[in-house]
Amino acid sequence: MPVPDFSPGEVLTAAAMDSIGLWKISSTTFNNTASATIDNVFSATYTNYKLVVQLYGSSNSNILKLTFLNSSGTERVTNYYGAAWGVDYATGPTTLNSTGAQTTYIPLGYPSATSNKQPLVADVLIGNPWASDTRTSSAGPQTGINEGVVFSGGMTNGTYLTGERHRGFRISNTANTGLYGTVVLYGYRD
Amino acid sequence: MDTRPNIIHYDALTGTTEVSEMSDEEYAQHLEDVANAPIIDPSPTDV
Repeated sequence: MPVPDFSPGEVLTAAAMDSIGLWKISSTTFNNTASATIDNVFSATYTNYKLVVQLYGSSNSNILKLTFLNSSGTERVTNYYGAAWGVDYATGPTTLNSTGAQTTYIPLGYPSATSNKQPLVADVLIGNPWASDTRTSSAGPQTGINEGVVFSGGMTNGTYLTGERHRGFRISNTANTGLYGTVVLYGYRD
Repeated sequence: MDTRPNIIHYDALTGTTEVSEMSDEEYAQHLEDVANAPIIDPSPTDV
């Protein structure tokens, strides 16, 4: 049986739409964009969120940054603990790379240079940002861990170290350069 | 980049997207950051 079990021509009810498990909340296109603030996207409707990032930038030295907006819409720029880490698999599994532990943002990895247009791709799970009494954490696989080396990839993870409500997020980069690509946010229905 | 990067603000409540230019101060910092960025060859020559 197909799920959801909709019939051709059927008028969809709110209950039917609410049964859909993964819902696109926002889609943002970067075109020489240094940062994007995506506000009022987290809510009580969903507990967990899927952030799909596909961006390349104008400098290989960039670290792509994820930060959260508090319940007033103010960007939080301290109190994180996060890193992007992985391997350069052209040189073997023992060649580990990391952005190092960061406390002012959550690193998503290194967006590659404009010249080769190899985007950083990241699939990031953000856990319960709307809860006011738990820490907001994120984790997921990503490419581009080693500053422009094409044969590399790994993970990103991070936590905002105080329990508080977050209503949105911001994507930016440490070199403040223009990025190209898309950032899409989805909500997971419980 | 020789063109000034922009900044996006999206608000899901209103459905509005604002795209603004970097300030002169931000752009100056951007140019300095780019100028000081290390050059890394992304070609897989280390295979």
